Amino acid sequence: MTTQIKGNDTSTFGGAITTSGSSTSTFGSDIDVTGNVVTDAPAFHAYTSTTTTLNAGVATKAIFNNVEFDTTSDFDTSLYRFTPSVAGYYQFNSSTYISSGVADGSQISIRVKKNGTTDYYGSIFNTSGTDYPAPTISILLYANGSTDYFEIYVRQGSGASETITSTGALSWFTGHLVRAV
Amino acid sequence: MITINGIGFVENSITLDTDYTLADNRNAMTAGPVTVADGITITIGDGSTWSVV
Repeated sequence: MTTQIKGNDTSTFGGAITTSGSSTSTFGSDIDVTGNVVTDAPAFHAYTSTTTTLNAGVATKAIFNNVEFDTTSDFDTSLYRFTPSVAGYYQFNSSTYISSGVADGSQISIRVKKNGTTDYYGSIFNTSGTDYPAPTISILLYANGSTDYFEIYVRQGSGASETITSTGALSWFTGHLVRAV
Repeated sequence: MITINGIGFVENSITLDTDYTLADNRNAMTAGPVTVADGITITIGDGSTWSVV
């Protein structure tokens, strides 16, 4: 099949288009793709295989010491943090199941902590009786693609020590790039 | 238009304003960047490669 490159009209390519170098390709209109769009955008799914101890009244970093996948090797399973290597807007989700009954009326919260300083809260609720709560969070955040990092913190106010389960299907942290900048 | 001068420079226009067909199994090279003018079509034949360098 031949290739036709046209000025100010639709061009057709009989083969693949390969670009090289670091320059940005600019398209003045929509890109209509029939097949899959394959990118190297970061995406990860981290989970735990060990418990996290939650001392009463202390916001504690949740342990995620395994990854189901981590497309760009940006998740640190020792520090339990995601440091994306591409700048842009990231969707984060997490759930942490507390594997013991929490005292009636105790407050539970989960948050994404950015750079160890800024907290973005997810569910904050009071328990009743012997509930086994699983606070969750879903949020879109910006990352600079170099130094910004994200962790999950959980706080419970039962007055006694509690634990996040070691079951990975119940306590996990996921994220993916929504839009690069 | 391509110009070859006596001191070693090969020049071409930065705007392609004439339809051109590169036949099958032929390669061609153009010094870039170049612009394909409105209404102009550059056709590259099967097995051929146009390199804008």
